[in-house]
Amino acid sequence: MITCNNLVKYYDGTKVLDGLNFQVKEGEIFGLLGPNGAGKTTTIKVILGLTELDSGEVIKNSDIHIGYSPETPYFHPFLSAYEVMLFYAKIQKIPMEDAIKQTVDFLKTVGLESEMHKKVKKFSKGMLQRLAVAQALLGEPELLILDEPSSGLDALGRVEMKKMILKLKREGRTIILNSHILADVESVADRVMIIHKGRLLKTVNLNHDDGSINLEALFTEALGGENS
Amino acid sequence: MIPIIQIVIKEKLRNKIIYVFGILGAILMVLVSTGDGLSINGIKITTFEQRVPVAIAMNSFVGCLTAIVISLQTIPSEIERKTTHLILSRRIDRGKYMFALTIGNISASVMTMFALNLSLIVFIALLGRIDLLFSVLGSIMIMNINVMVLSAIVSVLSIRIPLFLNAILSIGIYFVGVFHNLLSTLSNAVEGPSGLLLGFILKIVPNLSAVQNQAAGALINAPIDFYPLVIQLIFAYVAITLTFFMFKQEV
Repeated sequence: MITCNNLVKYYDGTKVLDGLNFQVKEGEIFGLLGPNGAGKTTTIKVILGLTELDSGEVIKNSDIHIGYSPETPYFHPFLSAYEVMLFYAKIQKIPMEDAIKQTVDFLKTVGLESEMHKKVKKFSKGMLQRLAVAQALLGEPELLILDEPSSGLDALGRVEMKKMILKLKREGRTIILNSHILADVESVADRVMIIHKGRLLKTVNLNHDDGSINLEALFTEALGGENS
Repeated sequence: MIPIIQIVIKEKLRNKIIYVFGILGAILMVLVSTGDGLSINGIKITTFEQRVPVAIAMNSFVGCLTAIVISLQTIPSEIERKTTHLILSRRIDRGKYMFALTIGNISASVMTMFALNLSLIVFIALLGRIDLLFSVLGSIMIMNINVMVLSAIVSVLSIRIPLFLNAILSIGIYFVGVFHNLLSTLSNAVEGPSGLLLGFILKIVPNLSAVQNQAAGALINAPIDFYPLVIQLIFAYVAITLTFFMFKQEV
């Protein structure tokens, strides 16, 4: 679905992406793993077209539509979840009838159907994260990018978020999941890319059936090898 | 773009600062319209006709400051809270996005200006001076040109200039604009580099005083000279057009 070839990006003279190559296949959950400053967020920005590359290219299947859920979502506090969804539907020029249907459907998907007319200012961090995922689903994007969806959530919130991602997976959605919580990625992702200092260290296929892969060990090993 | 404009207006009209300015403006207006102690250049202002221009001038001052406050923060806030990511990831053109935010600022500023003057219109109606209504409305509409120009300039500057610096610059632009005619006379009298610099500044700052003069003229049903009004509208047009090209930075 997406092929990234030799991505190079500098910020103020510092190389944050250093020849990164990877591919995201249709229908998979692709985990992005790496320590702080590894270049995960920059990689996402590049895919979203929010930042320009110094060299390299992102090849997308035709003109795919991408839904994005940011790490720290901000929604106008005076709007209800329903109004937030309609706002983002309108800017995508989704016809009104369809926008209303998608709004209700996706708020149901993320478990916010009973809170849809509540003002966003009354939302907890977990509810905001779920609303961010719901708005990312608007317009039925071919690819979803979830940037730290469990960031700032308590244990229960994390469990709910994981369930939601698995639900999206069952619906056959392609997802790029950026997270620094190894256990969360391990339990939902099909493949994981470990990056450090903007470079690809390892790509791991996770087979959830045999449970033989220890992501934590692989991650530590990859980073240990890099740091030594 | 319309949903973005609407959301800016909604957000701005909920801003408490606007209500503070609004109440302040209304109090000033009531004092000016009803007080007996008001005098200008030692001449006592007694009749309602004499007080109305003062009230409009006061409201225009408050309205322009409000326009600056409204327009200063919109774009920096969008960038800071990363709403830009959510909007731009939906393949919305950067220029159109900034344009929509600017139009939102201008609309909110103009609405605030009308709200400020609403109490004056109510006063006129209550006093049974319907004969003054059209000239006052015309004057307020002309004054709104200044609000539009200021809002557009502050918005476009806010794309590139840090908030605090932009605030100082915007207040500077307002005062140079209001004293444009006076400073123009001064620049003719001053020679050398200072005179050239002042002349240059006056060329790039809109002549807000020319608009005020026409608004004052409208109050006494004097014929309106549209030339200075069109010039200020061109300033606003140029500023609004620049919003399409100014937002280049990384988000």
